[in-house]
Amino acid sequence: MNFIVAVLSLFAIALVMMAVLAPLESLGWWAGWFPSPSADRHGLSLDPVTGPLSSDSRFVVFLTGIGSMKAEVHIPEERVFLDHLIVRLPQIEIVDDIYPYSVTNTALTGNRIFSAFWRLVFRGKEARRPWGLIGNVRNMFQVMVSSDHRYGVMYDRGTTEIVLHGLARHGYPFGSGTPVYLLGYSGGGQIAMGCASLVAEKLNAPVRIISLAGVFCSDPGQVDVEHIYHIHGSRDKVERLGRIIFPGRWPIMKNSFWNQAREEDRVTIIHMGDMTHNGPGSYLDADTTVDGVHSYLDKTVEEIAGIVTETGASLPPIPEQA
Amino acid sequence: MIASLVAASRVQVWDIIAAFFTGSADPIELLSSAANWRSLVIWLVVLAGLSEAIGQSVVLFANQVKPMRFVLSLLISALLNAVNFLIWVTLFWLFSTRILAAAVPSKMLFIVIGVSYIPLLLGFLGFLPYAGQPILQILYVWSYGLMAVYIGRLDGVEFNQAVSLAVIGLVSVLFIRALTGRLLNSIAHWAMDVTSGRKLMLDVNEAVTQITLAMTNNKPDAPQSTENGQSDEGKSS
Repeated sequence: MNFIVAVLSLFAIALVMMAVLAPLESLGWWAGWFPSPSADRHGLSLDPVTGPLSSDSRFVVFLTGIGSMKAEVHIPEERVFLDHLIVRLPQIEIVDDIYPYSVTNTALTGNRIFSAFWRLVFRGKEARRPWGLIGNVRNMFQVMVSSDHRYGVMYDRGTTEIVLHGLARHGYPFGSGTPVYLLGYSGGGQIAMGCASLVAEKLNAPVRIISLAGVFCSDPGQVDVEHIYHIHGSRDKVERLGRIIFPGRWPIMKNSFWNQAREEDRVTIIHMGDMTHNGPGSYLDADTTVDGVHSYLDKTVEEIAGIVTETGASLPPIPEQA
Repeated sequence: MIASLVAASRVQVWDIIAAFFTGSADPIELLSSAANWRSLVIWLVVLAGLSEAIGQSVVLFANQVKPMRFVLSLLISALLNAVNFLIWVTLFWLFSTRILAAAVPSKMLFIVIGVSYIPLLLGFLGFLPYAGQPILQILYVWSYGLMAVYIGRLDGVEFNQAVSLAVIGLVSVLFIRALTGRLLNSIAHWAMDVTSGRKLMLDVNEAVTQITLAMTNNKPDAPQSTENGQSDEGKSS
């Protein structure tokens, strides 16, 4: 009995310490304590567009869920989802090499002091061992850092820089006003909310958020963002948790940023039936079918394609950019 | 437990902290029987101040304070907390004895107010993302509440005086702070500015915005994007 109590106490202490240390990476980056090779704290001066542009040119920045531990999308369901999206939208460029839970875009298994530990966790994750979830917990704390108004202001500047660098890598024509869609899955929804207005300001282009089962707070960025599409299913308990734990999402908090955005009709909620957050029956499930033919994954891809091409049946018209 | 500790004559600060959090002994009793009660109380207050400073250190990060100066600022903040405590105890004692005419022994007042700082040893939890600020508020309420309860238990304080002290306690804190606050704040800010090496902006948003503006104006170079976006040099935990 004493042994169990001791183990549980150690586990609780480790969890609290992990949470307490969570803001250190982004705050240290902002304060200049750590070198920042792929993202900097300075204002970007980006090269203007040089080549001809097609009018239906679009960029989608994929911000992965908290299960991710690498910069490239490595979770099989997410990879299949993006592949389907690329097939459905061949004219769209998808930025899929961003690790949004590090302000320097340094993946957990990348060049870090504790990368050996994280590689061990990654192997555990691939083998579906319980300790493989440590990476999820670590990333969940980063979502909390972004949602904390004290830290978010610095964290969001970091993610803004890595999104801009990601767009640059994928050939985004800066200065062209080409629309950008920040597609945040699960915890990536919060990252998208945090950096969207800053990205829009830097690009001087329309930036819209697609929150795929996003877990996010009432973020100041929601006041400025052009439009938010929030996709969720009725059996998604994780997404629902976000609506509960962040008071600014409660309908009674009329003056919250989220409710202001909703009041101004800049939020479109898209119901996906009885979809769950992950696993069988989820948004990315390629096996379960909606009508015996099309899978849940197909439906999700179709909804997102409709948003990006602005042809979705139930979508409101997007205002002209001034 | 108490007997063994007192027999050793010098109680360690960890004994007091452990007694408080585990409930194994009364920390006030332990302190009042210890030979080194003065230094123990000061240690408690300094450590609580240090922990609280860590919990609120986001301001230092936002102002881009360098690591050495960061540590110095935390230490100065902890010492200022002790100075605050001494002024507070003195004024509280004068208020109790002169205005409320309570026979409050200064040693006990020193000890009980010192012990009421112990919850603030958890002030570092203020650094927790999202939950940090509410936790800090709870710790302050816990600390003030303890003080009121402990003062009520003091010998020489009658029930009505204890109630008055408990109720007026918070008001008096505000009163004392209003009297001394401006001067103390000026000294504290000056000390923090000196140790941090820059004029600190206490509003995190303002600090980040101002620094970003200054950087944007001073650094026109475009970033060089890498092929894969992965860090080659960056080290972070």
